[in-house]
Amino acid sequence: MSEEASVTEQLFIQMCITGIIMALIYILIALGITLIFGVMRIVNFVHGEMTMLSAFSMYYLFEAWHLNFVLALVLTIAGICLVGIFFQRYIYKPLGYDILNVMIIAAGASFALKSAGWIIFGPVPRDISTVFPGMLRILGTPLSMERAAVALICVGLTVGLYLFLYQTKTGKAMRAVEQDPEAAAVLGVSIDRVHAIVFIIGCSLAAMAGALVGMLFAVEPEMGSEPLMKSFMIILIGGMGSIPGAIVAGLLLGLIDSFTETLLGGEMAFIIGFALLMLILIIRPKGFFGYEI
Amino acid sequence: MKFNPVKVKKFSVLLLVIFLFVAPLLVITNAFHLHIMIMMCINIMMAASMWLLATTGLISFGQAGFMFIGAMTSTLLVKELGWPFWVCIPLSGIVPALVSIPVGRLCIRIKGVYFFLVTMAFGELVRGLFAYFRTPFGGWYGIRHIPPPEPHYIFTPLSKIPFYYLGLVLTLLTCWVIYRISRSRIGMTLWSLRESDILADSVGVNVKKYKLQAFVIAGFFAGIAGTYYAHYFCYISPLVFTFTMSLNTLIYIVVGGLWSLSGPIVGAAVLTLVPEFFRATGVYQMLIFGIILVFAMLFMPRGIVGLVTEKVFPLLGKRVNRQKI
Amino acid sequence: MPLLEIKGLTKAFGGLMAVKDLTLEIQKGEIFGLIGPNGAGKTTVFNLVSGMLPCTRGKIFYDGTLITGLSMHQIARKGLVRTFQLPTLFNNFTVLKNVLMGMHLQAEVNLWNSFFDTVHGKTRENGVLDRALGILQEVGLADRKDELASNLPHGHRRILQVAIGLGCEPGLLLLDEPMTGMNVQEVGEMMGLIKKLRERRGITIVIVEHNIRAVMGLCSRIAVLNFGQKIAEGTPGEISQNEAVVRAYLGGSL
Repeated sequence: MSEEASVTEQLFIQMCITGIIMALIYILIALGITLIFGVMRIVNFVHGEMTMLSAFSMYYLFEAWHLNFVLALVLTIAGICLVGIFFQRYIYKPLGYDILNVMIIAAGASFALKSAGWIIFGPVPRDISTVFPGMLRILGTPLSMERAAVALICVGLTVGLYLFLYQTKTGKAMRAVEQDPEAAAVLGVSIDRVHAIVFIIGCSLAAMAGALVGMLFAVEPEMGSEPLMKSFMIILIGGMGSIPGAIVAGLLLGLIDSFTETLLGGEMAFIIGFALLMLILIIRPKGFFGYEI
Repeated sequence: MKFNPVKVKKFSVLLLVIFLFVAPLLVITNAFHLHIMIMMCINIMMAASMWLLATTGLISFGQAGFMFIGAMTSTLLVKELGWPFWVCIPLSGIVPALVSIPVGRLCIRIKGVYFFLVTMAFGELVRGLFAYFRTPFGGWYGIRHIPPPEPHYIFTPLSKIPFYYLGLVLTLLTCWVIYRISRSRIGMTLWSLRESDILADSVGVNVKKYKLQAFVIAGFFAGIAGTYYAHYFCYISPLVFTFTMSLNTLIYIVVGGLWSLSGPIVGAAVLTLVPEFFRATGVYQMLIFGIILVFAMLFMPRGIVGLVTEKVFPLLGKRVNRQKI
Repeated sequence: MPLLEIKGLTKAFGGLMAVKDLTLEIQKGEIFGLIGPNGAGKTTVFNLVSGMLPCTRGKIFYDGTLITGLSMHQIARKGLVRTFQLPTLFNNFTVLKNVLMGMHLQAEVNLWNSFFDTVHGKTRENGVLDRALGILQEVGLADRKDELASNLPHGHRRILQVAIGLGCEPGLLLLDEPMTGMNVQEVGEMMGLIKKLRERRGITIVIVEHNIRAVMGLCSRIAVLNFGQKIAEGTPGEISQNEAVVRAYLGGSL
């Protein structure tokens, strides 16, 4: 009798843990997008592909060429940031950061990047070997060290982001531009510099997410799309531009996803996800805490 | 020699239409080329209908969803109930149009980017629903062995020519209807919504009603394109009518030019041909499309048609009509 | 009976009272001025009356009928039209097309008509075209009718805004800062146009303006707002003597 209970218990805990870990990764991606949206009022559709490129970069640098993990990570992040800045300066800025145009051109670019990924890397999924071997037990359920480490890293980055935005001068400047760009400019904040920094942070988060997803799951050209969709749902439900919103909505969605996937099957999770999204957009397009467009 | 631009345009369109009717007998006899023309028809129908909606400022990413609904309607009616194809064609426009009324009512309230996203969600929702219910919608595997139109001795799997003519007629019909609407006062009103919907509201335009009308018309023609697709390829599945297809349609419009109906037509035609030119399918096609879209948005804001009108025509001595709409 | 009656109009944005308990009566045929320092709520009043914003409290009557809660296009249909503070135009349309759009209500065609280009539709449309040209003639833009609206200089854009409003054949026209950004000559032209509208077409006009001289010259009566509340109402002479008004403008002389 107690063994049966412990099996359902275990399943429950397992679903919760999976949900939370997935949520944390999606939140990481969502934070990057929502930050960029909050400050620049554009939606960076290529975020998913940046995640993918980062994962491939980690694969080649760390796995194939055996560079030191941290070094590989740093190089990857730097590379992705360069890509991001390129996009910001030469692709988004010429369009005057018009949100609809940026969305369209970013969709096109993400298309191109994804196909380029297919062509260059091929469909065979790669794997990045684990840096954190071993297993833990949480509440009687097994949990790989790797997943635990990923979760900790995500939490750490989120906290770090929060501290940055609220405690440092640059972070405050960013929040100022987010709230009122004109006023911030009058106060002497360099808008261009803030834009660049926002993009760097956003892309770094995407790069980190890519590395983490690559560690936990397979590295392949399509890997950017689903997390991007999920992150969009999180942002729309939590509110575009809102960080606490992204966190709350992320955890919610992660758990819902995990439970429906295990209990009802993949398609239902798919349908429920999009139905929920439509519902939220219709009833409260701003999400829980978000900004008007 | 008097050079009346309007008469010239009308005459050249007439010539083109005649050419298209005669072509399979003389010029385009290769089955593969006919297939390309058929794909062009589908793409033009989708692009033209989406364009009408875009003139109001609404970019919908759910058009593939309506296409799917239309395809599914006639597929089920013909395959399961044995209804004749020709009865089902108008129905496969009407059913998605009916669906688009409540969907449109809900979505049109939503502004700008969010509309983009909610229509995308709708498209995915349609796919998900058809994928979830194996019967009668075929699930992820889709529905095979869709019967071609009657009479079966004409529409055989081997002969593409009848399909070509069917497509040509449907496409011409679609474009003619959309052209008439866009050139009428209704069309002007739709454009005004894109320019400034607040100003239109202030002069008495019922903005929501007009946007909904455009949305429903777009859904109708998407459905018809869907059914043509279904009975030509004889196979439909959720893997066909994806967000990618809606994005492709948008690319036709953006690259061709938003400012007149010739834009989406030219865009769809050119971008159906270009991948074939490079023998590009699958990911190579996506790559080319993505790059073309990026370049088009950066360097050809008025699309191919805009480029030709503004740069090439003056060279030919044709007076550029400054009025853009 | 006053043409426009505003009773107890209130608009709150969260805790902020943009308009507080405003009561006004506009008589038919007059030119009424609404002035006040920046942020006093004048444009908000226009937004509320024209149906662009919902009221928190209060009632608005146009020509005896209650119009609170109606949408902007419904109110325009009744004959109450407003222009916008920014030079909002249909930028990629020609000047003529802008006015034709303004005549949307006169050219009411449905999908069927316009699709099959019925005779009925055509003749109505032609009548509309003539009247649109007439309006352009009246405001002095007839020679620029085929130019793109975006190419117009600022002063003419403002005039086009008024012309678009005229297309609706309004009984009441709300002009939101029609003279902002105009030089002295353009202001004079606009003032002349506004007077002409009242005299020739009998349109009642309410005008929000910062150009006090113009307001004094045009309006038969003026109301002054500050912090969303009416602090004075009367003839130009009375207003210029009113101490509260002078104080509200922080010592600016009228």
